[in-house]
Amino acid sequence: MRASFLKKIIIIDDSRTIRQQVSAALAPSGFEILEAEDGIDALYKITRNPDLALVICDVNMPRMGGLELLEKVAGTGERKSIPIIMLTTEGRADLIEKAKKAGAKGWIVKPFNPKLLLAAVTKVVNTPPQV
Amino acid sequence: MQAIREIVVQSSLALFSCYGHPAQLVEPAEPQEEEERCDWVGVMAFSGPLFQGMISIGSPEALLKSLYPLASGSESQPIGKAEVHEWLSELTNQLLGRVANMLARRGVRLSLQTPAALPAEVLKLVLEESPPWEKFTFNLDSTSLIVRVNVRRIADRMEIAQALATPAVSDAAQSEGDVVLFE
Repeated sequence: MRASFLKKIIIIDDSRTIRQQVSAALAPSGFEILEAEDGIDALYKITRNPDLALVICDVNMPRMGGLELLEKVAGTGERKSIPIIMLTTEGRADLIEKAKKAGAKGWIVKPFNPKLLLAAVTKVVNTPPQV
Repeated sequence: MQAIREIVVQSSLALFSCYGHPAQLVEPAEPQEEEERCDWVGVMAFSGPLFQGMISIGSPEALLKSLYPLASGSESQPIGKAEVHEWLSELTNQLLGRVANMLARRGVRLSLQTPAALPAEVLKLVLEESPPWEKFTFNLDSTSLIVRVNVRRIADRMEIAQALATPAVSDAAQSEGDVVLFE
């Protein structure tokens, strides 16, 4: 029964280490963590999990990168209200601006501080979606 | 290309320090022996309008295990070869990310490919086939870790020199570890 009250988050990164780091940072605070290893894998899982509270997404990944995924999720369809935070080694201002315009809620440059990640995630998932 | 050398060294020192292993650059790099002590190499390619190339990290397996971010704390499972292999890819990704962000602050944009990790003997074949690699040896906990970079010019020397001489603008790239929430 308890599982139904957990906020569900998907972490999308081709690095298993990063996925595990994110899970270790968030799961103890009551978040249920799903994992995907690229944008295509993520699209499949996002479609099948309508109760997702947040997407955390890398930028440079094989097959489909994070900015392309962001445009697909945030730009169209019934999934556009899911907040998306980018978690990447990229820090370029033009890429950050592009993500912001496409609907991302935040940008974190790796390596991340687990406490700061948790604080950002908690803030974003508790912010009501804008209509 | 002295500016790129300095950026690679600064980025490497910052990255290893971030994972709790302050490093020292060993000068001059001592050839041969360190290569034999490398078990794995991470490699990653980059390209841009001014130049393109690759960066690599070569390290003994034991050192990679000590840098592994989940090695301490509640994760009690032993770190296997698969984890080391995967972690080196990500470490290479984070190193090149730092390099690219420092260059972005000077207005130089790079597109980054996805990283890969290979057994060290495979890198020897790559080194033989590609242009000269600049080599930097770092000492971490009395163990040598080797960073290499090879850069091939696309634009002319003058254009590259002018770009690299541009003063860094801090807000042209977000810093590592920073969290920015929009709105």
